[in-house]
Amino acid sequence: MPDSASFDGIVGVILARETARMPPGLAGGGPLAAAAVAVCRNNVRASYLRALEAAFPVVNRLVGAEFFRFAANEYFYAHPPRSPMVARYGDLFPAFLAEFEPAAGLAYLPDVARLEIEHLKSYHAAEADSLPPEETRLALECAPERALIALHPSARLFASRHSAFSIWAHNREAKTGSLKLRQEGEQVLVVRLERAVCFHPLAPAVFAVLESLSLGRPLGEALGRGLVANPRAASPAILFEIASLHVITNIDNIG
Amino acid sequence: MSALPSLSIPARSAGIGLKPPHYKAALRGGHGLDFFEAHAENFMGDGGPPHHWLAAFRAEYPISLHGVCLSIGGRDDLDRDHLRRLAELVRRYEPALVSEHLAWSADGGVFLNDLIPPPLSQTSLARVERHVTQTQDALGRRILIENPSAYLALNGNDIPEPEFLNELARRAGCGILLDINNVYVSAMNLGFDASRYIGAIDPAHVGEIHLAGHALDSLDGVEIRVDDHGSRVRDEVLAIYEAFIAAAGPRPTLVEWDTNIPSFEMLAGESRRVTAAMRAAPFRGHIDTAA
Repeated sequence: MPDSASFDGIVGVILARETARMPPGLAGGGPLAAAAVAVCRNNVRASYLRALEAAFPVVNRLVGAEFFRFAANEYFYAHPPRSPMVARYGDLFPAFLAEFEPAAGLAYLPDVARLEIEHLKSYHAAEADSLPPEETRLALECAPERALIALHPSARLFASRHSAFSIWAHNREAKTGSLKLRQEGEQVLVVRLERAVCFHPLAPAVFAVLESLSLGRPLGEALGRGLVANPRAASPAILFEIASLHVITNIDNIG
Repeated sequence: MSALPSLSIPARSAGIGLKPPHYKAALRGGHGLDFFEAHAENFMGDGGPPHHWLAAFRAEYPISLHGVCLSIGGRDDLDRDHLRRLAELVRRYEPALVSEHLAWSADGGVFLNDLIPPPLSQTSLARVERHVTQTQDALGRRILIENPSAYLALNGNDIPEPEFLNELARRAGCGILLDINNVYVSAMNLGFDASRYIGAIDPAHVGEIHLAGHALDSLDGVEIRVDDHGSRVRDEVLAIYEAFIAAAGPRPTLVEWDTNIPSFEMLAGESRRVTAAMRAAPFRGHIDTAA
C-alpha cells in the first residue's frame, strides 16, 4: 500500500465534522481502530481548544465555557490550523466572532477578543529598553518636527467603539457588580514594562499621536494628527503624557 | 563567543518537563533535580517572560530542548520558518540535548498538533532520514528522535519500529530518545510485547529516556491506553525502565506531566522516586549522551 494513503486517510478522519471510521484498508477497521480514531480526533480538538482558552480567558468568561467550546469547535472547521505556532492559532478568532451568528447579540465581543490578541502579541514581543520618563520628556521638548520616535516593540494601539477595554478590565478577574459604560469609544496603549503587560487608557489626541509615530511618521506630523483628533489639546501636555508611558526607545533628531 | 556556562547532562541525571506554575519553586533549588526540559514551541516568541524564565534556568541548570511541531515524520517538506525558529533557540540557549519526534503533525499545509506515527516503510525511512539530516544541518548538532505512542496499527507497516529507529540513528547519525511509557502504551493498544521492543533498541543510540503516566480509557466498550501525561508513572512502565537501565546503564531520565499538573514538590518527588534505582546503581561506565 502506498504510504500516501495513510496520510490522506488520517487527515481526513481528523478534520471531518462527524466522527468518521478509519478506512478498513488502512488500519484493519474494527472497534479498536474506531477508538484510536476517536483518540486522535479528541487530541487535536482538545489541543486547539486549550490554545484558544489560554489566549482568550476574558472572552471565555464572558460567554461561558460551554458557548466558548461551541465557538472554538466551529472556528476549527472554518479555519483549520495552518501553522505550527499553536499559541497564535487564535489570530483570526476575533474576525470569526464578528461574523459568528450565535454571538451577534454581543457587539463588543470581537473587540474584547482583539484586545486579548494584542495582549498576547505584546507579551511575546522582542525586548528593548525604553527611555526613562524624565529623559524622554526633556528630549521630546526640544526635538525638531522631523524627529523620528521609535516605540517599544511590545507597544500595541487598540481602539474600540464598544468600550471593550472597560468590559475586558472588569472581567479580567471574576469581579461582581455592575459596570458603567461610557458612550464614546475607548483608546488604549498596550505595552510591556519589565515582564508585565500594562494597559493605558489614552485621550484621543495622545492615541492619535502614538498611532502616527508607530507608522514611522515624524514628530511634527504626528502632533498634527493629535490636534485633528482633539483641536483643544495642547502639544506640550500630549508630549508630557507620552513621556510617562515608558513606550519610547529612541529619539532620532536627524529624522 | 558564548556567555553561557557550558552545562552538559551526565548520564545519571533526573529531570522534569518545565511547566510555568513550577518556575519559581524550581529555581529556588533544593529539589535534587539535575536538568529541565523545555518544549521548544513555548519559547518561540521574540521576547517577554518566557525567555526571561528560560534564561534563568539555563544560567543554573543544563537544559534539554524538546521540539513537538517540526513534523519530521511527515511527507510535507519541513517548515523552513519553523526550523529557523528552532535553530535560533538552539543558538540562544545552547541546550545540552535537543530532541524531536518520530511523528508527523502537518500534512498538505494543515497543522494538526498531534504526534501521529508515520508509516514504517522504506519510503518513509528515507524521508525521515532526509528530514533528520536537514534538521541536524540547520541546528549544527546532533538530535535525538523519540518513539511515538500509537493507537492505530497501520496496514503496510513493514519495518518493526525499533528496527526503524536503529536504522534511522545509524544512517542519519541521530540518537534515540526512548519514551518507555510510549512503548508501553503502543504495546497495550496494538498488542505487542513492550519488553521485546525495548530489547530490540540498540542502547548505544539511546541518549535520553522519557517516563510519564497514561490513562486507561474505555471508548464504546473498547479499552484503550491514552498517553495523557496526567498521572504518576505506572509500575509496569517503571519495571521495564529499571530493566533497561540495569542492562544498558544510566541515561538522563525525564518525567513528563502535562495534564492535571501536580505541585512542583510532587513532580520533583516523582522524578526522584522513579530514578532512585538508576541513581543508586554502581554503574561506573561513561556514556556520552550529547555526542
